Amino acid sequence: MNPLLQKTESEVMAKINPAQLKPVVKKLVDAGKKIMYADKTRHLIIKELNQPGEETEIVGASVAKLAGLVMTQVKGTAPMQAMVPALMLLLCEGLDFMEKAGKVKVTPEFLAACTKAATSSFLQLLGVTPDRLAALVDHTKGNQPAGQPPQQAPKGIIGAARGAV
Amino acid sequence: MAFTAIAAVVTAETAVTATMIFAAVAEVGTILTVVGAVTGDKELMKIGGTIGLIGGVGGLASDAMGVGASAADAAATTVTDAATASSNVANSLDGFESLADATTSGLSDAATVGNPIATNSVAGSALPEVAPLPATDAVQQVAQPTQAAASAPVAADPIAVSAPSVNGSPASMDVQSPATSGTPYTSPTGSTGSVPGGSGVDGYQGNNLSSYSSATPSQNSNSFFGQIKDFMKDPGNKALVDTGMKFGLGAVQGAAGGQFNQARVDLARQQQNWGNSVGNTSRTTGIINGARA
Repeated sequence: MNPLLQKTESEVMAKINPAQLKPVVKKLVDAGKKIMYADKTRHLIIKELNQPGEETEIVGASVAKLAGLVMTQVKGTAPMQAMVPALMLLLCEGLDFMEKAGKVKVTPEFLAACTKAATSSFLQLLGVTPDRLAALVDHTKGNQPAGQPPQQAPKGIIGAARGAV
Repeated sequence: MAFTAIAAVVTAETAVTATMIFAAVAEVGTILTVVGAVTGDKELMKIGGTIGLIGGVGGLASDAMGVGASAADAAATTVTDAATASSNVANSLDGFESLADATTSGLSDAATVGNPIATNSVAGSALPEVAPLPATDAVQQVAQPTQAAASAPVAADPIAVSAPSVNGSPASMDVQSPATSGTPYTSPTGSTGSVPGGSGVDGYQGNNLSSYSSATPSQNSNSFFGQIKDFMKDPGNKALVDTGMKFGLGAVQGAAGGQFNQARVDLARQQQNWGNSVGNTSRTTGIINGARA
């Protein structure tokens, strides 16, 4: 395996938090690999990769779709803390395969561009757009803690000592 | 398979909540930072930091911060055996294609159904007049009923961005994808109007057909992350992140302070007990104890 991809894989695995999710990530990656390499589905991945367009974007989008399929297979039970690292590991797997097939040369720049494409595609797959994210953050900013009573003005002797009228 | 189809399947199968979105955004930030560090791409690290902050602060603010150990345990045990699940896909009669067929037939080609509605050019259809969308944050009832696919009020709670599934078909989600803010429309009855803008987040406002009708995502990565970076330059958003940072740093500082204080107490006890065969920090004094000593 390309040392760069190997290092990326190990770094991603090390950053999985909480660590209990590591087996889940491995299962998700295995599931993705099965879809990627199974006889009946392999040609679909190849077809995806052969689409016209910028190579990094195509690779990224294909891996994001693959991760989306895996996500549907586990019925959405996989937490994002496992799903996103699995997406990255599947990208590494795909790039390694493509490099061995002589289709691409994985350089740091290429890997960075593919990562950007895969993550942005994955977020878009979930329906996340910058506008929508902005709306969510705006909404969050407007949120007040529920059930918190409004602050009362100080009363009584102590309150008066503290400046209450 | 087209991006549209997979996006529809993902959103139909998975209840995409704000928690998930913030968690995904935070995780993506982490991954981008990690890959940026490995590849030496400073821009990627910077984007990762920004995205991670949005996800982290957003998650913190909406009480959606990550999963704890117990949740992770639960995930580890309840996540269905993904390998088995995927082998079902691979080994089923049609495998991937069956999924593709299901989505394409189920969606009845979302692009063909949805585009006329998105462009409001359905002539002679029985679509009632589109009710204007309230520009409130709280509820964005998108009333765009059709006879077949009845209107589904899209996620009343802006935070609960759950996937409404009308008639169990992902197609209906797409069919009732609301027009984007500000777009003029002409109803089949001939009246015209425009969809008012609003900052509300509904289930599928972002999942409009014009965005997803292509085989690839609607935005390339540079445009996608560029917009997010621009959004973060807004002073209000910057303030939010700063607040989150202060909160986080305060918590870290508090924890560190607590550890330091504990260390001091331990040291004091150790010094006090020095030379005693039996450590006793609460030794009482007085006549009786003196007599006993």
